[in-house]
Amino acid sequence: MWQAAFEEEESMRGHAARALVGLGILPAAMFGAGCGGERGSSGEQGTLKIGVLAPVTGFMAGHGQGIRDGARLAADEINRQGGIDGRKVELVVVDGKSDPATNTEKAKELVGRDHVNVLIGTGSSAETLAVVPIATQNKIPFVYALDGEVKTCAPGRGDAVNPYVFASGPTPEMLLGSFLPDMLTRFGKRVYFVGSDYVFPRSLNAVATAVVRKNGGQVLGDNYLPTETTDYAPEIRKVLAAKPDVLFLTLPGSAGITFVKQARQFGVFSKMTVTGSATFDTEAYSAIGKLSTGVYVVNRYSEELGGDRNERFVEAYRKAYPSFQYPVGPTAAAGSYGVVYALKAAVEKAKSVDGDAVAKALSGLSLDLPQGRVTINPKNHVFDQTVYEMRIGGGNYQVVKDLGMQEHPGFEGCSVK
Amino acid sequence: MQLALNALTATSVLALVAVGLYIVYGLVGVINMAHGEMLTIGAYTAVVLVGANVPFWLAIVAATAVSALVGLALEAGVLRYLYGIPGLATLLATWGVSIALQQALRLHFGPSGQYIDAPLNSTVQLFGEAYPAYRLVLLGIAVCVLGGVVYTLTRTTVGIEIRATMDDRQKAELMGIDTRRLLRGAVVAGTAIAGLAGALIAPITAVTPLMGLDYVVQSFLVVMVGGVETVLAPIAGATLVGGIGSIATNAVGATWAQIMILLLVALSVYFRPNGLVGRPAQ
Repeated sequence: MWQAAFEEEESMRGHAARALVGLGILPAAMFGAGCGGERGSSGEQGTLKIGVLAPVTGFMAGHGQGIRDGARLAADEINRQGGIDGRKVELVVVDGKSDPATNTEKAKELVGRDHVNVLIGTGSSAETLAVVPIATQNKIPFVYALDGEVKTCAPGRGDAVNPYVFASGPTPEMLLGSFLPDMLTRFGKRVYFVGSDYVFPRSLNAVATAVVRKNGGQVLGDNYLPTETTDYAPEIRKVLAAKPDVLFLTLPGSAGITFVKQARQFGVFSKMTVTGSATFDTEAYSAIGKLSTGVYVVNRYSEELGGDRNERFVEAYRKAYPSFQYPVGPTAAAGSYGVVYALKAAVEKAKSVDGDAVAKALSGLSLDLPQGRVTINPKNHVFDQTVYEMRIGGGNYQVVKDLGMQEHPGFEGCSVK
Repeated sequence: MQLALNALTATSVLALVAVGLYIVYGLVGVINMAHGEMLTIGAYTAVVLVGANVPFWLAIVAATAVSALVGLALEAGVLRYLYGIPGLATLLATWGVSIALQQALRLHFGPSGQYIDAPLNSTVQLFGEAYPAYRLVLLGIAVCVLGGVVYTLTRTTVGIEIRATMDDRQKAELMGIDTRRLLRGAVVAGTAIAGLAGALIAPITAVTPLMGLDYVVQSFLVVMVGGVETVLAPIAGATLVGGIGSIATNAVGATWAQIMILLLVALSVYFRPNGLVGRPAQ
């Protein structure tokens, strides 16, 4: 879910190994060029052609499969019900391999050869940043799948909106702004932060610690450990000695899994309230879901949200992908399924699949999705949406509290330069 | 006190992981880049078996056996063609095996972490502090296995034969030692211990196709620091990399601790290229 979460972790591991693997990119791309989706042309009255950049291989694979599966389900549903005012939805799904350079290549192909009307998807922050210029230059709307920092400002200026780029996910500001104050009120004001030592955890925790301090909380620790750490016992000892009320973990991927497994043995979970971001995501659920009962998280979607729209989605998803055994995550539900429906609404409003018209229609659009009511903010193109406080238990993310509609403040933290 | 226990468990786990690498490198002269994957295979075996309701301790034994078999296949299929070939050949070949195994695991199990519960989740009161029981068990097993390795190498006929082969394979062969069999046995033993280590740490670490990487990097540091001249070398190396690392993390934070450890490794290699407990440089 968290855009930037995994990329740097991976890049820190085995540089040499990655360099060699990198050599594989070229032949793969050439192969891809020969046998991509069928040729077609946009402007064909009959279809809305969506280019889906899904990192189904590489380190974002967990997210990539969700992106692909969610988009496919939405497209199938829409087509079965007669399309969008008679227009069919056609997906061209390509594998971005969790790699920015591959995404640049694939996005160019989707635009130049497959003539898609819109682009959706991408996993990590670096992938998204690789696609933004291509969408912008070709005037193709691009709605990116995962949350993370804002990338919707116009290139070269941080104060104006890029007409073609839209952020489907909530930003750290939107997620933590109401969630952390609630944690402080309920469990106590003494908070301890542990994160992996790279950009994403540090920048996220910078937002988080600021929220804690602003709300009268006390930051007892703000420590960062290398992603390849295998023994967290020394840090766990410090946490136990500090006796915080709340432990906030920003340890994406395997770092979080290792920490949680070890901390649980030291009895950390029974001594304080544990929460965090990017640590207890659906993608880590297979490894630590059962160990994380009672952990609090904040997100834009849970299978347990209820509501008619969501129940229909979950039922359809389980039916379409019967072998999927973990909770359906925000990546699939909101990151691509919801986005395809947003595009449907935009095409209905624009009565056209033309890039400029769809982009204009997306801005300010409001609709009901499995995650709840969503409005695409016309000022910054981030989806205004409700975020929920949840607690892990009973094999899923139980909704504890509706934290209300969140809006990202302007272009704060925009990473497009 | 907990500080010392943490350092001790860190040292013992690392020594357990590194001792197999030490045996294979010291005896066979092969830098086994696939050592980390032997650990990974041990961990996945434990995950699969415990998932199928096999008791944990039985799964540990099975994991050791599976890794031993993979080690046997590695020796028979790859390594034995490379004995005595100088340079990068063994390194590249075993690296290839390492990548192939990683990707095979990824294809079959997917990239995300696997779930396995620890057989013990309680803590015991030790010197007035609660310490996880499983870590103490881990410490005990590691000490026993390491003791066994040291005993075998120093006190048994096989051990003497192994050390003779390490010193000079040709002369050992002239003395009637079947060095072919000995080398194969050493590789199998090394990988079996790695598999055991992988299965033991599975409940306290992320079980993913790449999990071997982090451990194998540390193990290489251990072997570099310790050298291969005495059987105590991997223990000495692990004390520096794992134990001192643990204490330093407590004092100055993890990132600085890592910088310190790498500097210490560099200094040790510079001043004592034959290993911390080896002969000083000539």
